[in-house]
Parts: sequence; C-alpha cells; structure tokens
Amino acid sequence: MEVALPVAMGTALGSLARLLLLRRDYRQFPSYPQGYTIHMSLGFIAAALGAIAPPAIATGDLAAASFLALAATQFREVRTVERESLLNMEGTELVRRGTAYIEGIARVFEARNYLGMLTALATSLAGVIGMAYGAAWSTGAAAATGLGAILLLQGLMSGQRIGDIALVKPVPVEFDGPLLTVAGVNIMNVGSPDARRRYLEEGIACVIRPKDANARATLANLGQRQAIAHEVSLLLGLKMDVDEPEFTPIARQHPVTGEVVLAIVPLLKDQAALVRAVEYVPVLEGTVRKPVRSGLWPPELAALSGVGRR
Amino acid sequence: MRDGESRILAVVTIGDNVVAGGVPVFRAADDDEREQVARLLAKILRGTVHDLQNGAYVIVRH
Repeated sequence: MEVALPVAMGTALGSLARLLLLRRDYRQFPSYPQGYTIHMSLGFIAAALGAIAPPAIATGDLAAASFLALAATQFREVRTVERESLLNMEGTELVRRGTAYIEGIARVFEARNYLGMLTALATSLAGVIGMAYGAAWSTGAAAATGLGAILLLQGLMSGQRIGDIALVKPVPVEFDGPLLTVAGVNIMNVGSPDARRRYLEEGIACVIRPKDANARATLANLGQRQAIAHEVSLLLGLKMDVDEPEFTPIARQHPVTGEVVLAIVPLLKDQAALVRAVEYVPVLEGTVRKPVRSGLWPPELAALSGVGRR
Repeated sequence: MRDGESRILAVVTIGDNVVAGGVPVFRAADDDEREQVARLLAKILRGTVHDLQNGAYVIVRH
C-alpha cells in the first residue's frame, strides 16, 4: 500500500496548523527567530507522528500507534519549558505577568502541539481511506479534511476576553487623603505629594464591571487581575522606573459590587485605548469560575442586579 | 506585591513623640524636609512612600 502520500499530506497540514497557531502580535511571544524555530520544530515532529499513525495501523503495525503516547510525554515537556523560561524572565518585568498567566501560556503551547498532531492524524486518515479510490482522491480528501480541521480548531481554540465577560468604562483618578481612589475603591496609599500630582495630571483609570456573578468570581482571581495589569502596561506603556514602585498598576476589586478598578500612569494617555486594552486581555482558562452553575444563586443575585450599583 | 510580604524600611516623621523601634527613624524639621527625605530614601531603598496621616511617612518595600 502506498503510504508516502497520506503521511506527506498529514505532516504538511499538521505543520501548517501549528504555524497558523503561532501568531506573533504586540506581545512578541513566542519570540522570533529562536522561539519560532523551537515551536516549528516541535510542531513538525508532532505532525509527523500524527501522520504516521493511520497508515501504520492500516498496514497492521499496531505498535506504531503507541508512538503517540510517547509524543504526549514529550509535549508535556513543552509546557514545563515554557513555564520555566517565563518564570525565569519574571524578575525582569516591571509589571509581572503573574503565575496564573504564565501557567495559561504554557498550557496553550502544549495544547497547540496536540492540535498539530490531531490535524495531521485526521488528514492522514482521510488520505489512507481515499487511497482506495486512487491517488488524486486521496490527496483531495486529505487536503479537505486537513483544512477543515484547521478551520475548526482555529474557531474552537479562541478563548474569551475581558470584554466578553465585563463592561469597561473610563473613570477619573481621585485621591481620598493619600489613598489613590478609583470609583470608590481605595487602591493604595501614595504618600509623596509629588507622586499624587503625577497621578492626577498624567494618570487614567477604568472600572471593569462584571456582567454576572460568574464573571465577578473570575475577576476576583488575583492572577487574572495581574494579567490585566501586565497587558495594559504592555499596551499603553508605563511612565515609571524600577525605583518608583508607587506607579506599578494594581487592579483592586470592590468587595460588594465586584467591580475591578485599575489606575495607570501610561505613556499613551488615551482613555479609549485603555478601555480597548482591558477588553482585549484574555480570560485565563485557569481562573474561570462558574458558581452560578451550582444552582445555589437566586437569579437576581447571579445577574448582580441586587448589589449596590452607582 | 512581589512576594506577598511587605516590610517597613524606614520612617520619616515630623512628630516629636518619636519612639525608637525596629526600623530607622528620620526626624524632619518641617513638611518640605519630610517629603524630600522620604523621596530620597524611597529612591535609595526602592521602596514606596506611604502617608500615615499622623505626621509620619513610612517607606515600605512591597
């Protein structure tokens, strides 16, 4: 039986799936060129392993399928490596990513290798089945399945963003004595009058209002809030250096309403940009909580309509 | 908050009821001197200035 064609198609489309999931945006992560090389190499290996399985099983070599298990062990390493490298870099970040965000990123990188492998597996399987009708059918079936799998995975793997679970609104920066206060929430004690002046003159702030009790529980997670502070500082820039820790943005939650507030002294002082930056922050998979699903919450409390809104 | 534990590094105060404690205390003659000393200390120690509103500023490492 001719197996080269399905394997080649599977490997190619599996690698393509991995490449398409390697998007480099403002975060510059994974980095180019070394980060890309690492992930494309692993993605190619994953695709090759996935592509080999169906022909191996079709020709009666069941042992070859156990290589998939081996691959899974290898890709668990990917997660460890990503986590370690991000944790090692953490001390050099002015605003930390936080362990929850790092864990989320590491998880995504492991999952993407499996997606490459699955795409290759489906493609190769279609190719093997199509072989019964000739090489042209095999190639066509493999290509169609592979592209379908890529489109499906792209859709399934895009997670929620803060804008999906909360409303973000710009609000003024205020001081209650020395306490930096945004929308009624005390964020921190800023002792130096000079720093207070800088906050009032150059700072902007926003309030993140959860849409329901589930969103509120997610926003209560410190890792999720740290991710917001990190991403916003990255997108808007930060007018601070390491010896001015009072300008480190901190996201605090109102104990009653669950609203999260954030004040920042950015390089780009633009309230609309701040709102869009916050809305664009990913909801970390590990911080998602759904207390309302338990059925314990009365509907009006679940919708947060009972809590004191301004 | 870096490691979850904050530490008072120094106190700058204009109050005259200063008691010696576990941290260095700097006496300032007036508000201006207190702010200046607090700012310089914060820069040196990489700490944050917090106002206790009783005449004392504390420099804290978070």
